[in-house]
Amino acid sequence: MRSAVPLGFAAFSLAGCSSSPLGYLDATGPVGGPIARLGWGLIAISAGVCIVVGILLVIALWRGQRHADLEIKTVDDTAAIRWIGVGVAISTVFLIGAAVWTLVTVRQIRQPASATALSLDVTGQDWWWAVKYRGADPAQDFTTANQLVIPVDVPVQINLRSRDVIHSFWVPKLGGKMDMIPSRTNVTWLQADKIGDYRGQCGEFCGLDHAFMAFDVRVLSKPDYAAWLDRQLLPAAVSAGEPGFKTFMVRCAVCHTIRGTPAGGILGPDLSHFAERETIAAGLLPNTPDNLVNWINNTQTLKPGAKMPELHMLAAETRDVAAFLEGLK
Amino acid sequence: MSIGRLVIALILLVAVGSATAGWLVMSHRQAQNRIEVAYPEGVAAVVPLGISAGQAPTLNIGVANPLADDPNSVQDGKKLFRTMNCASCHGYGATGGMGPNLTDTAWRYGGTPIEVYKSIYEGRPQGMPAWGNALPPQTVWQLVAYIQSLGGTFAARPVSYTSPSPANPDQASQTGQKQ
Amino acid sequence: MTIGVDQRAAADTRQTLLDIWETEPGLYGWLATVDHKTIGIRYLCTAFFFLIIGGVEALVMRVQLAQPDLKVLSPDAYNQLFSMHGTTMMFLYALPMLSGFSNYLWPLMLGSRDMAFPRLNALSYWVFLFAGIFLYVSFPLGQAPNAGWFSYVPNASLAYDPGINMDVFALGLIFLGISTVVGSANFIVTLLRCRAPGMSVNRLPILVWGTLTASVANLLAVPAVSLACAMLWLDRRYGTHFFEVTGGGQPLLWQHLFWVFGHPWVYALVLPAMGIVSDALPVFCRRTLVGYTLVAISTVSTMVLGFGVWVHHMFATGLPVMSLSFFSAASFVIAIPSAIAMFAWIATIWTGKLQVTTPFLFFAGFIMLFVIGGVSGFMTASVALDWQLTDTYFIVAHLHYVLLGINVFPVIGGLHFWFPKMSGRILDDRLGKWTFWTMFVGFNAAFFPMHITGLMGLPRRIYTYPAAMGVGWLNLVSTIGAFVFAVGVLLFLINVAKSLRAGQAAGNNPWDAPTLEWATTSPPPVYNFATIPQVASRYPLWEDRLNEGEDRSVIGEAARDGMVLDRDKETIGVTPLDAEPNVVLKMPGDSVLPFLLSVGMLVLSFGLLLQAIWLVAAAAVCEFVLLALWLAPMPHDAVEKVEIYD
Repeated sequence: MRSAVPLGFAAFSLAGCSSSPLGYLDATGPVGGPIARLGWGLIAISAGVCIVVGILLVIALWRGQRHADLEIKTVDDTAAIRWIGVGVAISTVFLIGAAVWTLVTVRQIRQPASATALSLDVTGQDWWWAVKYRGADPAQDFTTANQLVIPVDVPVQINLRSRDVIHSFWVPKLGGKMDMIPSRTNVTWLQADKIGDYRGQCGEFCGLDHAFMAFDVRVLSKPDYAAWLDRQLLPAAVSAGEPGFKTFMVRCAVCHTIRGTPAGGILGPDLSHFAERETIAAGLLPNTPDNLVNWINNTQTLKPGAKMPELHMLAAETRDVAAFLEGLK
Repeated sequence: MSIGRLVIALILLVAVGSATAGWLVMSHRQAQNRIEVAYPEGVAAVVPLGISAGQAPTLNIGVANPLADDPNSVQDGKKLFRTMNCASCHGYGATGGMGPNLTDTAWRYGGTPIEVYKSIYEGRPQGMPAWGNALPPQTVWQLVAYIQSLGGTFAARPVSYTSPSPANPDQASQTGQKQ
Repeated sequence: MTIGVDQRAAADTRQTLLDIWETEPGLYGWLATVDHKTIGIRYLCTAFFFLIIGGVEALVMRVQLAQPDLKVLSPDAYNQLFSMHGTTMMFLYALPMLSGFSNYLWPLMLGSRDMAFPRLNALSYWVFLFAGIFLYVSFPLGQAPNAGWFSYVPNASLAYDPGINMDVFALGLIFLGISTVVGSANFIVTLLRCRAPGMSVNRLPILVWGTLTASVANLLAVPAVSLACAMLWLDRRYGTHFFEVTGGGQPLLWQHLFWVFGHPWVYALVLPAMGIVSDALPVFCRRTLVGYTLVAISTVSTMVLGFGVWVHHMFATGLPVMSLSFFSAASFVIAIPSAIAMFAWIATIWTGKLQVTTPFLFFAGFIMLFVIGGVSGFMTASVALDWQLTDTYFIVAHLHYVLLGINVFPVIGGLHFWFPKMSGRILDDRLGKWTFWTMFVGFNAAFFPMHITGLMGLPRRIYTYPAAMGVGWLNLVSTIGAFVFAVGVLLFLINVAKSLRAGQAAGNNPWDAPTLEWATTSPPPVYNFATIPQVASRYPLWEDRLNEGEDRSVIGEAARDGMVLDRDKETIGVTPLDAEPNVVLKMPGDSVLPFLLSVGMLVLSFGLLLQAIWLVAAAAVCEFVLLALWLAPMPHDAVEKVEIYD
């Protein structure tokens, strides 16, 4: 494909988009794909307009400078005005084309082709995401945080709510933004056609830690998803004898839930299967024991203003709690 | 005229300079959205949740809030009330929600300053965390000062629980009992 | 001999007019002046001062964003800075700057002696100044507004934003709104009544069309945001529930009220600036503007359409797809009038004989930035694509191309163009060209990469970003570009300082421009024109050369039977459309009342901010007394009451 090299001009500036975790011009799937194609189309039109007008301007500047005398004289503008008309007519054609393409795209992505088999409730709050999976009966409901796990090739309906201010749910590689507005439930959907991890991010300014309000979308094959779901439905595998368990119950349990234990706080993320998560603190750090210790010790340095207080625990306590949490498969 | 311009330039310079300096100092301070505690390792005594379920023991009931009269403490306490997430249970106006209302005169664990202090310090069953390990006494007293400013607390001396809420808690804590 | 007599008579007339119009020297005169030129220059200087403040805020933010994971600023400090940057640039720089131009130029361009309501004019300046100060009052406390210039609720409500930050914002905008509204009303009435005889609507400069359109829009739009801010403040301080969800309020109501104001406002910030280009660019092409009528119509129609597109700021809020599609289509349509104006400018250059001066460079550069900002706007008009683009750096790039490209570049060009008129001295052209190239290169280096970072998904309004985003080097380029741009602004200031001291003298018409303001001296006398001009065409100073018709405008003392109006402080009033003179307007003298009234409003705002009832009451009483004094009828001599020219 060496012939494609000259065409790499666009790649010069936009190649980075595909490597970026939040770039959306290489989005795929039934929602992201049409938007990405529309995006490339409108970029092409826009670049074309800029180039054409730039050339016109350069020619105009070049022509105009050849005059020696600068005396004013009457000019008949009929021809010039006709050319303005031509320019506006061409612009209008492109505008109408872009509008039609937009509306077709909107129609295409507004609803999934088949009914959604899976429906999740995502609640945004300062500054993390609670994700609720609804089972066939209420006993099978469970909540996780900062990570959506969905099966591949299945349209997933997402019900968006907010517990405090306006946030915006955005997984660039899978589709556009939808705001989470208190008192409203906005519904969007997404569908991934490739297995993998995708990054999500809050898209509406929501205060101090807006920069650090991210999440992960993990797309699994259907069997893997079923297995994951089964694991989630089990209570957390804990042994009450662990030193970290006791400390957690005293220090952390008022805000965090671990299903199957007395810990039932609902202010912070549910930590029942914490060890399965990719990241901690809403996409801030990779989920490793060292990072977890660092997070517990330096919450307010890492994420200034986060609602989780620094508890000033002893070094041994912190280690124990981290070890305990990292054992929650 | 040029003197006039000089005066304007001088005023501008002073205004911009002092505003910038003020912002640098103050916004840095505001950014410390955390409580600095010099907490010596080894002193950490874990106060187990629920140790004091039921009526709290009434030791030192006569202790008044040393910060009750300080308006800055009330403001700081109010800020803490939000930043430490008290508001998500007790409501932003402390009028209750998931947690009890703190502005009325109903106190399950006592409504005198030291009892409120103890509730914050030790935590209470069904959700109230123990903050004694996280917050220094000064800070807890600021929170108490804020709660006192809401008007539902009682004066420092033991009072009848049927007495109406004092209109001005600061005054009440000075004058003592109010029937 | 007769010439000598004529000259002496003319000198006497000028002296008489000077005695009538001149402002008293000293502090009283300084506070009391109602001269539109002084007020205009004050507007320009104050707005430029705020531009510098907002620019420094931007530079500090750019330092923080230069590389991933920097910790130069805390998140709260960053939030304050970006909020104040936006508020300052949108409210305290962009519109006041254009008001400054219009204040200075309108009576000169229209051949009048002052604005219709000179005292209202002074009031609008003083209110703007004090509102600007008020918006910064909590800054030294480290509690500047921090929820963005758009200040979405509930993030701006008391629960999530304790402290006085957003109270200052809400009260400050209501306060500033007074300035905008009275200024707009003044412009509209001035246009309708205070023109030279013969200056009919088809002869108005495009700048006048632009400001007129913007003023009408402001009258309709500003009340929406003042109302929204009043509701926000009541929600915050008096427990109402306009936006409070727990009380049945609707957060989306804020967004509708804000953007139904915000979008027309954006057009109000660019249309007068486009007018500057439409008027000044042709001068350097040595011809008239191609398609005057088309450009005038496009100006007005942009604004009419501009009232119907506000929802494109809210595409992601979950409104019904049907209505989103309507607003998306309307947003595409609004590109058409802009295209007309753009092609008209290019055609003017194409068919012109170019004189490449500094202002010309700014205007030509502006056309390119206008196109780039236009097509990125075209992309965001697409509702489906906007679901991805919104709240990314792509929008930051777009709005800066629009607001810097279409406002700042014409404004700096316009300052180069009219500086000789204002000061009597020409800005250094060599330094000016350096200014242009520094600003142009710096601007594009700063903001073009933001298109790419936006397409790479970098969200806006974040105080830092992880290295994994891969946008570190692009942000570094942006930061360097921003500093280069700042150097350009600095060069401009140096040029102004240098030229004020030792610039080349300008003469009446250094650019050989066609409009009326160039007919009088530089700087103009306080009464503008000794004899009220009579206008016969769109380009009064080029009539002989264009030779388009029989009629000739009568300008200057050549008009022996012209109106001098030297009996008292007077100017001529005309019919709204055809500019037939029909009344002599008595103009009010200097007054310190506008200043005092503004001080009263400042005190009132402080009272509301501190919720100090006694202060509010005292200030309100003072305001009523001042207003009563202001509105008290002035006694006239019976003879002078009616003066009608047929």
